[in-house]
Amino acid sequence: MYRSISLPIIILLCILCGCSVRPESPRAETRLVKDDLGRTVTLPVTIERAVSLAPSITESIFAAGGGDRLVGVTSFCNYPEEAKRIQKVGDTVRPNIEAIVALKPQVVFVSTASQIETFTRQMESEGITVFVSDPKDIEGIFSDIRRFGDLFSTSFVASATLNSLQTRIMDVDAFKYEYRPTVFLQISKEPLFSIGKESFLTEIIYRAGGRSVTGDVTGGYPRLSKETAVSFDPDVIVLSDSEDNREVNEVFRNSRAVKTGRVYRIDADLISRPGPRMVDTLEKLSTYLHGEVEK
Amino acid sequence: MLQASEISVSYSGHQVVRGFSISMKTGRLVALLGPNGAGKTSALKALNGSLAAAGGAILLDGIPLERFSRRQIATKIAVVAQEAETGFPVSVLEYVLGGRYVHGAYFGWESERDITIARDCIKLCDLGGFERRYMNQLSGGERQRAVLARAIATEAGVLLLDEPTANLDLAHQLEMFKLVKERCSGCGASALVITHDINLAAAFADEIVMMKDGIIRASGTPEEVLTSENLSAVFSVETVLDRNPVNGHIRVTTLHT
Amino acid sequence: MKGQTGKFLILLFALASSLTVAILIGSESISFSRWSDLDRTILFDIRIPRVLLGAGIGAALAVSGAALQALLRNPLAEPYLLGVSNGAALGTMLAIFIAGEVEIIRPVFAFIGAVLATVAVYQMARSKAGMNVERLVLSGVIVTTMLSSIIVLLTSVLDAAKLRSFTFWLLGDLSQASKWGFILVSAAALLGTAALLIQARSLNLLMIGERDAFDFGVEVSRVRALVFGVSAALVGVSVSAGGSVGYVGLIVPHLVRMMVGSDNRNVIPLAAIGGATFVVLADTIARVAIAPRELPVGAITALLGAPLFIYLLRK
Repeated sequence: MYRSISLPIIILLCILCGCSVRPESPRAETRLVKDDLGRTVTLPVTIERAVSLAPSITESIFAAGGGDRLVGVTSFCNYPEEAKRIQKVGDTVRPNIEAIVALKPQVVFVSTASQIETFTRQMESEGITVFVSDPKDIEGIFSDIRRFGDLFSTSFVASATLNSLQTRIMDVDAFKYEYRPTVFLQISKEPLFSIGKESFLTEIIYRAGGRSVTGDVTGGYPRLSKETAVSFDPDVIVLSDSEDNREVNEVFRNSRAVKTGRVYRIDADLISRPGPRMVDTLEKLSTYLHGEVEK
Repeated sequence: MLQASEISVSYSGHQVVRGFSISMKTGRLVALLGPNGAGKTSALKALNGSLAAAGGAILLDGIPLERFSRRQIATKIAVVAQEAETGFPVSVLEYVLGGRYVHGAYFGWESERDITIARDCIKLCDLGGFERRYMNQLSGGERQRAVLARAIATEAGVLLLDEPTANLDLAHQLEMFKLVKERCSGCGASALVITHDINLAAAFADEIVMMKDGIIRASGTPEEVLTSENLSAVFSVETVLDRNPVNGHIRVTTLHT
Repeated sequence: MKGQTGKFLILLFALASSLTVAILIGSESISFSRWSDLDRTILFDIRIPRVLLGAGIGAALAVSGAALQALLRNPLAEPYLLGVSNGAALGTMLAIFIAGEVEIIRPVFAFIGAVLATVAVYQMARSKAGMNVERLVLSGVIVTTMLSSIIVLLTSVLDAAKLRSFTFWLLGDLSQASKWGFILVSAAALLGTAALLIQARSLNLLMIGERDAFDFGVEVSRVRALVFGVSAALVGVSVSAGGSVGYVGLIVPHLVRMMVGSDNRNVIPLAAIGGATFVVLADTIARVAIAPRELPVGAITALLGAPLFIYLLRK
């Protein structure tokens, strides 16, 4: 009789003892998460102070609802409006270590554009976690937003954003068109840069109902030979709108796109940031390629 | 004919030559002697215009030196000096042909005559057969002879030589002086030779000029100039002078205890 | 000393071959049997101007290198080493910054930049004892590195969009050839080679020693100023059209000297031909190696030139 009651009690007691005997960590509770590079990092359960080192990440964090926790961003982070008011800590390629450390963040979000290894070592020696975000396509962007929602404990906001974004994408996907125009995306006029296989924009163009002429070229942003460029004769040319890219490269002078006036501009910020506004890019492309998307 | 009267030369702000006068007559070899730092090289450089001379005048064939262009000066005055190392392979023939620069067009190839003259000078200086060798493959003495060959190839009437026997062995030292002397007495050139070898100077020079501290201390024939007092005053050495028993030339022997 | 006709013909043949090969191959193949408008565009608007630009730049840089080496009595002298290239690059950058689209301004600014850099090097190298080769080369290195730093500083301050183009300028890039570009550079190369050829005999003497040259009748200051000026012009025009293509001014004169000796009357024209061949070949590789992507031509000349240079150094 004793035995049958005492065993569960003993087990319960052991569990309770085990709980109280576990050493209390002096910091707040943490958890282990995997970032986009597969690194397992330690993050606090509640993030109070974070730094973003890429404009795309800043936008994704805001979209996920964690914007109020950002204490440092890059000089390029200009969206949304609130981001402009956050303390600047350098740019994507050359972040200011001192400025970052002075802000006492718990985590720094970086894209693979930064120099990971040295930077990570420096941050970790200050007790700051480095989390790498590297979405390769739209699904990756969405998964990041969802994750940020989880990390910042704003899953509700993240879900709402994602729903809205997904609806917009579905509208684009549903659009019917007769043919896929060939598209040349010009990143820079001189020297001539376009997008290659590794760029997610190739997929975006496809999804918008077009086909990137440089879809087979190796690399992310290859510098292209003019001979090859002129032989593409694309139906449509899209310019990533920035200072050195206001015009189409002269090799396209006699191309179908220029002759039929199908040269469009999309803000470089929208094109270059793998964040929530990639959906804007998708919509614009779809409109340019096929006319208004029916809602 | 080259003549200088009362010229002074300054170098880096110091006056290194003062009141220098010389008259280089055709067919005569003048030896310029003096301790290091006496201003001999600077005086020589002034004579062909490499260094600017202040005060006094330098006349070449009666006309002030300044009126001549470099090319014209080079047709009349040739220099034999310590030769610089060059990083480029230059053959002896090419080197000696440099002396023919002022003859012929500014641009173009050397004439047959130029090449013949160069070859003759090479043979004259006992470098026959060295034509195709590179200058940096020659010994110090052989190079020095090439330098002389080049100067002779210019056919200039005035030769200025700055220690031309510096790297030469005994036989070639003698050869060098003989050659220069022959150019003077045989071809009507005039020569100024800076040398440290007093005995060779005594044997070959028609005139000797001794310099110390920038001024001429003595000038005249070897007999007139080479006295124990002059040598002691200029070189700060004790000497004994006599005559070479074989050829009668003045022989200077330094004394040391 | 002439009698180098054989070598001259060999080099001419090499140039002709490389030009032919370069025109026939590219990232797009041209079909001569089924000739189309596209083929015409590729060949006449893009490929030929670019190949000719490469030839012009190669000739200009090689000749300029040969002349500078003779003038400075140093077989390692070269426009880049003496700050001339960087001065030209900086001048070009300023021209682009100030006058943007007006292309004709660029070679002018480049020339001014090259001349200013040369003058700066000169002033630094001058001492009371007169010009000294070691001081000159050392001053050149100082000026070059200083100008490189300024270029890097400017490109950091200017926004990232312009940054890309400048880094490509500094590695050499023949893809931005306009019709003007190759005509100007080729004309400059021809004129410059002729001008320097006229000075070749004087350079032969200067090559041995400044003192020697002076004593034997060379108007040293005049020849020096002229050679520096023409070199600066050649480098300026080349850099403004295609960026700093390195190693040409160093390797080609050296190779030519190995073939025909040091007489500048032979070296200068042969360097022009050799330089043109070298850059045309290097640019063909740059265009074709990872087609349809392109490499900067300066990377290829360095890859070809550096091992060659090491080999030469050991001889």
